[in-house]
Amino acid sequence: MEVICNNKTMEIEVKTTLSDLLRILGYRNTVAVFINGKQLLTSQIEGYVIHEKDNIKIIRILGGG
Amino acid sequence: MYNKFPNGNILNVDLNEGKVSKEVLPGEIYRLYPGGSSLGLYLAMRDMKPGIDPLGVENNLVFSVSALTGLPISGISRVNVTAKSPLTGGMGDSQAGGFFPVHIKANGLDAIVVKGKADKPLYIFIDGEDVQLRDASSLWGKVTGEAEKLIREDLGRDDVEIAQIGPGGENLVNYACIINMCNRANGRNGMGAVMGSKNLKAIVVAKGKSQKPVDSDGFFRLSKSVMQRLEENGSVAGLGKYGTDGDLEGFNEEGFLPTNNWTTGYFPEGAKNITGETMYETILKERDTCYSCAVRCKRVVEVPGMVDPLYGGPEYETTATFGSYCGVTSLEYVSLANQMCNMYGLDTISCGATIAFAMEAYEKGLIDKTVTDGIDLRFGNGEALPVLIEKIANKEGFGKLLALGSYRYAQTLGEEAVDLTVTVKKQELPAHMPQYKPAVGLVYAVNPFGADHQSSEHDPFLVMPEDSMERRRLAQLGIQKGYEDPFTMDDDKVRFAWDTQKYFSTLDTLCLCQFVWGPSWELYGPDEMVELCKTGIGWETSLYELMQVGERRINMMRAFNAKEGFTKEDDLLPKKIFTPLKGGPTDGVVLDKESHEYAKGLYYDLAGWDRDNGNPTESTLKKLSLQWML
Ligand code: SF4
Repeated sequence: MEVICNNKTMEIEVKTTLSDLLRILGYRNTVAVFINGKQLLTSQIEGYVIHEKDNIKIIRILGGG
Repeated sequence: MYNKFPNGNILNVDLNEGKVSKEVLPGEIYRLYPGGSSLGLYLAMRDMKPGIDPLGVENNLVFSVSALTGLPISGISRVNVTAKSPLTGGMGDSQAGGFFPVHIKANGLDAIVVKGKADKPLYIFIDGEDVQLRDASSLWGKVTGEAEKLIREDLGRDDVEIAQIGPGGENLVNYACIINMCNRANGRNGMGAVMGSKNLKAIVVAKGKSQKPVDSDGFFRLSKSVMQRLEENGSVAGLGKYGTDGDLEGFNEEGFLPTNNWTTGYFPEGAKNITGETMYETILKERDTCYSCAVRCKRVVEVPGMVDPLYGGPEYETTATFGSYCGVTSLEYVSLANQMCNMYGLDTISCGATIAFAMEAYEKGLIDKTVTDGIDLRFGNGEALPVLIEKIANKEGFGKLLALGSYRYAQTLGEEAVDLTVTVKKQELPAHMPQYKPAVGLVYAVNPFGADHQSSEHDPFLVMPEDSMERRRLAQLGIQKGYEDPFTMDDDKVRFAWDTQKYFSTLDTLCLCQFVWGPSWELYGPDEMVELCKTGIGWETSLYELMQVGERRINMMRAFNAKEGFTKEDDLLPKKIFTPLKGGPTDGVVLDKESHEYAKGLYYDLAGWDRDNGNPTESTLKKLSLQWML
């Protein structure tokens, strides 16, 4: 199915979870995620199942040190 | 038991007279300046006049720990060094970890104040009541690893911790640092040069016992939770595994890795090679730690025949300054540069950034091989790094110019060269870009001791969801607003910058490691810092008092700087930050000058500083019990 992720259209399997997507895209850092303009709570990120046409915004949290 | 603040025990060392004496700082005064940078400032400034030469006999050099140092918990062993800075010309300080700090405290001391200048090189040895000023003539000129060995031989004992300068400090390089364990640095502000100007090679402390908490049940509830906290905290666990360099590739992918002297934020040809993950998979020999710390974020790297594990391994700032700033793609050369700085006692940030500046000046034709001692200074020349570092430390040939720091050197070349520098108050910027983190950029500008990345929380944590640990902790400081991106600058962000700057200032006062204790992502949050004070030393304090401690420190530095003639004209970010980046995902990106300037004005209001000159007002100083600084 088709979704938009960080302004780019991409094809993913039906029932892909956000955790799967983050793994596929190689995110290792902590991230914040917005779906269709609404931010997911930390407690929602893990199990969120992506829907067709979802507009996903993933923001890496890069701190100090 | 509660409400009584411990007295501070101060060792005064007068190098002019060759005398040492002890002083007790009453608890009610110590509570206002309860350690670290605050205590250092109080002790350094109480008899220091404005206008003195930072490298002259009148500068005071203070090593300080805090009332909490030595308690058996993670992130508690930091030493602060304070003096007037030869790099910025204002009040300076710098922090380092390791085991040296806890053993200062184990010798019954909260601070060591060094005044005057010895007529020949010496080192101070402290073993409880026994304090000796010992000849260091044979150590002068030696690199840190060698000097450590010789000091142990001289004392005939191994149970000591040593903080020392290398040839960089002896030769008064403006950004010389102080090194303990051969790999922990009080890096910034040129504190090593001040030590060198006093003919003081090292401070050596005998190892002793750690401090016992006054409320052991409560304290151990805090300390014993550390493994669980590590398990649940991906950011700190990642820091432990990959070191501070773990995020370098992320910065690059976002287009905010300062590269080729900050002309671009993108380093596709080199980022992967120098990131913490590659380090972990290739040259990392082991992880190291500081006293009692479970995080173990310190790197120890080895490249046979090239890089010696004795000198630790590079932090993110170091891989960025010697790597991407200089366009160098080799982790081996970056690690060698790190080693050389630790051997010769130079701040890796200022050193790498100064070389990067020279590389750009060379590529732009402002200098050529007749100036660089024949060295090809194009970006990417990793082989030049060790050669230049040695020249800088010894102030030899071209190294003498680079030893000035990028800003002062650029001034000798003219306006066009000054425009290439990336400094605030003449101190080189660390590797976090204000274009990405505008609140950090604001603090870079207004920070009294020059640009510093460990002086406030970083913007991206405000993008975390409101139920995240990071946001819930920030809410304890009254910081409620979340953002959809890190780049936005508005009134609430200014408040975030100011409030977290106060918080980090408190951490630098209490000598707590900012990876373990902090206001958002760290292992322990604000309420636990209060708990630490209560259960550790019986200090019945509050977040309010602790934040005021941090605020007092910032104002002490600003008030001193005001007497030195600093104004808001010194709170300027470099031109480069307002010049469009070239290439990669951030092509054309700049920091918006108008919103930055607006933010600065609001920041002055929040801090209680005069908008016209940027300096603390009389009422602000009085509010903070700093009337003695008027
Ligand atoms: S987190 Fe790292 S720097 Fe901080 S105390 Fe622990 S080992 Fe030292």
